[in-house]
Amino acid sequence: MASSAENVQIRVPGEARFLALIRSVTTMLARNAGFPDVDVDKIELAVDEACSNVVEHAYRKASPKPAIELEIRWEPGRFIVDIVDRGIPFDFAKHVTPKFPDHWISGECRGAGLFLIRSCMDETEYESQPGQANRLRLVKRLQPT
Amino acid sequence: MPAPPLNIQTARSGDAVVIKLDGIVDASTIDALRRTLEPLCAQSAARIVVDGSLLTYINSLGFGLLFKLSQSCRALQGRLVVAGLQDKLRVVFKILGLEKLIQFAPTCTEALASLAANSKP
Repeated sequence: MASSAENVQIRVPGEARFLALIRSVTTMLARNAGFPDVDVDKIELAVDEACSNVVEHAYRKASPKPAIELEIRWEPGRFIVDIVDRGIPFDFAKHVTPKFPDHWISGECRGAGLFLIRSCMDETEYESQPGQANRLRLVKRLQPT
Repeated sequence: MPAPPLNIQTARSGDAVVIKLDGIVDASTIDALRRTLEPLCAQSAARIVVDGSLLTYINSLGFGLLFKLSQSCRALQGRLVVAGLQDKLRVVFKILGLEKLIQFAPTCTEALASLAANSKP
């Protein structure tokens, strides 16, 4: 793990058993950045959902699984998490976030991850460079107290 | 690195089965939870309490599974009640709009009382 006061980069195997490690690092940094518990929990959930999607979808056909790279940095008032994978890209722009609870009532029991990511974070941005890497940026703004 | 733990304990309480979850539910533990709950929910008129009072984390995969299985129970005239989620996890439960779709009880005792009351003729 390479770190400075404002920037931490970690690279973990793209496997589900490492999600707890990702959550631990993310929550520790969000707490240190001054976020209240309720926002730390939201950041933890959003990052976990995003990384779960990488493991489950982007890396579904990959063997061995590539790594997931996390770049977490803190600017005044903003906590930024970049999640970089090297798997199957996702058409983020075309994805229509389902409405809840209608989604469940229609018989679906999956597909809530992106809804939670968007609900928990202030900004989301996805960029795919075909054949290279996909980068999901999650931003949480620290509300002044 | 070992998988993060999810300890699952199963106990009987009258006609009901109590599944006590201790740990986390995420992509690394969801299969263990599914293997425990699916056979129980496939039984006719099953009465199931999922006691989440010791859960420290659950994501959309876990809630999606609980929703699916509560529907399976209902289709077979059974019921599944989720009990005792800590506030942090109840927030996610609410965001996902599950409060009206999955029965929730503050404690395992209250969940069992609710099941018993509903099973009386």
